[in-house]
Amino acid sequence: MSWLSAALRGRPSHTLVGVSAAVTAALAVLTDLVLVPPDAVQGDAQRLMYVHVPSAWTAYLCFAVVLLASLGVLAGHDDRWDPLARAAAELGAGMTALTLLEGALWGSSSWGTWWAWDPRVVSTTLLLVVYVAYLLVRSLPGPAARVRRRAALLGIAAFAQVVVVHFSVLWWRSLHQPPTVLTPDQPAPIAGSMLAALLLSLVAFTLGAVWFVTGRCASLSATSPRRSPVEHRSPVAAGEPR
Amino acid sequence: MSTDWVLVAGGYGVCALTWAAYALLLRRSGRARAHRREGGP
Repeated sequence: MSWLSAALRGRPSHTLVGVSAAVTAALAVLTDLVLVPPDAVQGDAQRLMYVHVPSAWTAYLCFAVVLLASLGVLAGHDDRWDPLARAAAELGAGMTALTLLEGALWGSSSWGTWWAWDPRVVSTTLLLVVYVAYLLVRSLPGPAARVRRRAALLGIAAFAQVVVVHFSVLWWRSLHQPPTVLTPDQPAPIAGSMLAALLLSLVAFTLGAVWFVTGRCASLSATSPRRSPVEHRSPVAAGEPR
Repeated sequence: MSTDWVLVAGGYGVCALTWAAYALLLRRSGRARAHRREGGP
């Protein structure tokens, strides 16, 4: 969606989003580390939740954008959607890796181990592998239109793994806790101050994601060739020599 | 500093480094874009 990128990248509005993300992140760090009390059971290590959960949320969000942009590529054959899918996948893969790393740190304290063959941990690792593969597929040689179509098909199929990751804690026996915020139980089983800190971190990560994806999308749109050399050929009527 | 705070510092540090890396990538791709706009290869 180059119109969205054009509306933000290189204009004051894009800078405004970036500054808003930075300011919100600074406020979130202050809230997470100073203002909110430690967890009654897990102690200060629980503060990792304020970066672990937003990382996972941002990854989900990015992969949803990959899904929608890929549908746009296939439905409209519109190469403006392709850079958006790539930009979102780049950030989503990094956020997934960050989620795993922060989960390992938190797990070393709360589970007593850095790694467990747990459904949530294993499915999230597979999610990272799937989207790294997606990015690698994009770099395969071939006509640009075919590469775009191939990537779009994978971008749609890969989203199934997001669903598996999200429901893994409900479908299988897991060390990982079930959803705390997105739960049918009301009120959510989390203290109000902790929920507020978590939401602030979620806003900071989301703003950061909008800032990166729109900017990266605009750069990719401007620097990558939109059509393959074959597509650049002048149209030739049937029967005419090429 | 307790072990918990070491873990928290590690987690927030890695998070900051990750976002810094993405900011750097964005900056570099922005430069490439500007170069292309100025008529570079």
